[in-house]
Amino acid sequence: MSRIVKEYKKIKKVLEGHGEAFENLIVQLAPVNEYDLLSWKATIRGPSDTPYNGFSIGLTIKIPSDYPISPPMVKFEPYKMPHCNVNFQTGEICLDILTRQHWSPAWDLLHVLKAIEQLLQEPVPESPLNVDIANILKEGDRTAYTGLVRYYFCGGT
Amino acid sequence: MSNYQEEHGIQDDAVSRTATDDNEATRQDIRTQLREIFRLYSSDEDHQEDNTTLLELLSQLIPESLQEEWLEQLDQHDKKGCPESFIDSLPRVSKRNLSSTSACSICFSVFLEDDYPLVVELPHCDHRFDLECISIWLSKSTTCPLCRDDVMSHKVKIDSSKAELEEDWGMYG
Repeated sequence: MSRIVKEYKKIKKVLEGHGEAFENLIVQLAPVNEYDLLSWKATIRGPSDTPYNGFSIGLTIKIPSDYPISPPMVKFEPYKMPHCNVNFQTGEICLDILTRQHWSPAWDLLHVLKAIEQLLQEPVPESPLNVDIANILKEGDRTAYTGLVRYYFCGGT
Repeated sequence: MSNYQEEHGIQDDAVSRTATDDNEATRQDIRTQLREIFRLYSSDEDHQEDNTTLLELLSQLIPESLQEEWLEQLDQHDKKGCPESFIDSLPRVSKRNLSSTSACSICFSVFLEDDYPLVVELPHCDHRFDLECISIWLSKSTTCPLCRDDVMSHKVKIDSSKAELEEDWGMYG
C-alpha cells in the first residue's frame, strides 16, 4: 500500500481525535477528492501571538509521484499570503524542509503543516520572498506588520 | 654526461637521501595530482573528444582498480548519494530482532506485516528501514532520514565471524 494512503488514514485519525497537538492548528487537511491522493488542500488557523491570529489560511499541496523521496509541493492558495517568506503573487513558500536538499522521507504532511506554523510564528526576514514585509520586520515595526497583514486579510488587494 | 643537478650547480640532498618517507611523500603527491587531472578530464563533457587521448594516456599510468574507485567518487559527487556498493553492504536485521510494532519510517509499513521482511540497519545511528525504501533514498542522499547522520562518514564494519556463527545456530540450533 502506498505511503500517501497510509498517511491519509493517519491524518483522518489524528483530526478526528480530540486534544491532539494539531487541533489548534489544522482546520482541514484532505485530498481534493478521495480518488486522487496526489492533490490536497489544507486550511490552518493563524497562530496566536502572530498577526495571523484569528484568520483561516488556505494551502494547496501537490504530492510528487516519487513521494516521500521527493518533498510535497506546498503553496499558499487560493488567497494571497502576506508573509516575508512567501511569494505574494504565487504563494510559493521559502522553507528549507520543503527543498530536495533538506527534506527527509521520514516526514509527513502533518510535519509539513507544523513547520509552516512555525514559519508564521518565526518569520525569517534574512531570506525574503516578500521584501516589503521583510523590511518592516527588520525595522522591528510590529504595528506596521500587524496592520499590513490585517489589511490584506480583511479584503485589501 | 652530467646530470641535472651538476649542470645547474645544485647540491640536492634529497637525491642522496634514500629515505622511504620521501619516496612515499612524492608518490602521494603525484597520486593526488593524477587524481585531480583524472577528475577534471573525466567530468569535462565539453571537451570530451580532446580528452580521449589524454584519458587513454592516463589510463595506462593508473591501475584499473584505482580508476574504478575514482570514477565511483565522481558518480557519487554528481548524484549526491551513496555508492551502490555501500548500500549493498548495509547489515541486514534478522526477523527475530524486529519488534511487532516497529515500522519503516519511509513507507510507514510495519516490518512484520511482510512475512519475509528485508530490513537493514544504518551504521552508527542503527536506524532501521526496508532495504527497498532506504536504497532509493540513499541513491540520492547520504543522510539518515531520521537523524540526519551522514551515513558515509562511518566505515561499515562487517563482522563476518558473528554472521557465520548465526548461520550455524540456524543449522543446528
